[in-house]
Amino acid sequence: MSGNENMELKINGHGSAAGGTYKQVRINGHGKIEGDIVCRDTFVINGSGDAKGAVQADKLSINGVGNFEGDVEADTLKVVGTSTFKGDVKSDTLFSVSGTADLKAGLRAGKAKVSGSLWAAGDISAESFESSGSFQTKGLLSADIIDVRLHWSKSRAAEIGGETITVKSVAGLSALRSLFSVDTRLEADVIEGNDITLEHTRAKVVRGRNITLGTGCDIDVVEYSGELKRTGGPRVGQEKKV
Amino acid sequence: MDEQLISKKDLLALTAISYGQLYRWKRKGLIPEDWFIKKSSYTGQETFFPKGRVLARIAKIQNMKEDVSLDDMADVFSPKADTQAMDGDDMVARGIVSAAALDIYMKDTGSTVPLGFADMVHAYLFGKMLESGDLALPEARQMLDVLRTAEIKNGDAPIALMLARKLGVFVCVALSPPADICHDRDMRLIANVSMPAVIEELKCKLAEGGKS
Repeated sequence: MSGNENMELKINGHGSAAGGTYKQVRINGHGKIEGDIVCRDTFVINGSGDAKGAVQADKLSINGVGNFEGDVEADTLKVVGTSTFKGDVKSDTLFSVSGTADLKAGLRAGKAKVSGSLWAAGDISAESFESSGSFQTKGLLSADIIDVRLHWSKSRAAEIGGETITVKSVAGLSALRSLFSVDTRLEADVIEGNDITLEHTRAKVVRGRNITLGTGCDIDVVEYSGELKRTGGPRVGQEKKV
Repeated sequence: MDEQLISKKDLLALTAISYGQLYRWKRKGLIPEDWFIKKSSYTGQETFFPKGRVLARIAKIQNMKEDVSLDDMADVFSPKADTQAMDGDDMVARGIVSAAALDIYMKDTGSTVPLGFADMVHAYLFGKMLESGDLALPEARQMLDVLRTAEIKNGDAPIALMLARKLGVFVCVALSPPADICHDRDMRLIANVSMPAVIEELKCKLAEGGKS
């Protein structure tokens, strides 16, 4: 291990570094880090960065292209450009994507905010999850509060579970959307929560206490223990009060 | 092992917890990932749980909930070693091990106080087996020998101990679960000890003791 925890690692142009412990890491241009790296402060990629080992940082910002081969752990992690993560991603306070993040494993975050695209092969878990962009997971999306605003694209999760789950389409765009025949909706096999409000959602099963189904919903089975409300003619195959 | 399963729906109804709580506990690791058993049903997929274990776990969580944060609880249920160390007197005072058993243990191992977590686990199990009357002193010593060897060999992987007697002769075998064992008919099984369960028991005792 090289480096010093009070030093700054800076790669300008084209270069590579071994890894180690630093105060700050900045890649401006094209940089490669061959081993594990710990960064007590900020880790910024402006341009393109490859990390072959595990990365730990307080703040991690990817403003260009990032490629992470190992596990990544940060307090706040921001993807403004495009980034691929092969290992587990953990972001204690905030994980935000306004560009594209492609996760080959799972995500654990305090708060997750998607205004771009988030793809995850594994589970997404957070205290709160907000999306105004598009997300896809082959696993479970779980958070206390899940708030999804549908704009132009499709989102998908195998399972969604939490306390309050809200899916709404952004008003005023529906005419435009039908003009361009954009398929804007959320798809899930199972959605389970205490209070669930859905619009433009296709799901096989929705289970919860209080459920409100709105326009554009297509649900095969609904099970509820409190109240079921409908607005705007959703399709419901089967409903059961439990 | 055939364990009775309970569906998620029935579990929520029986324990009066909500979907939100269940998912939160799963996220925090209070309910292990591999207890969520997916089975296909006419509605697609349903999740089932090992009934006995999940009900016991939820009862523990609900008992502890008022005094312990979810993150601290997650530590209790994690089979990972704690960093905690404790004085012998404290262990006796908290009812983790009897003074007599601890005394023998300290003399046998030459350990000095305060005891590290590994020693606490060993002393706890040692005392428990002696006090229940299941094992005689030389047998309990033999068990600890086997356990120590297995711990060195297995590293962090979970360990189970099979304690048995055949024609009065004591046998102790360490296993890496899940393992199916086939033994001869004359063998009398005394106990199957799952070390992660022992560690959890101990951590629960420590967490409860921490309250007062």
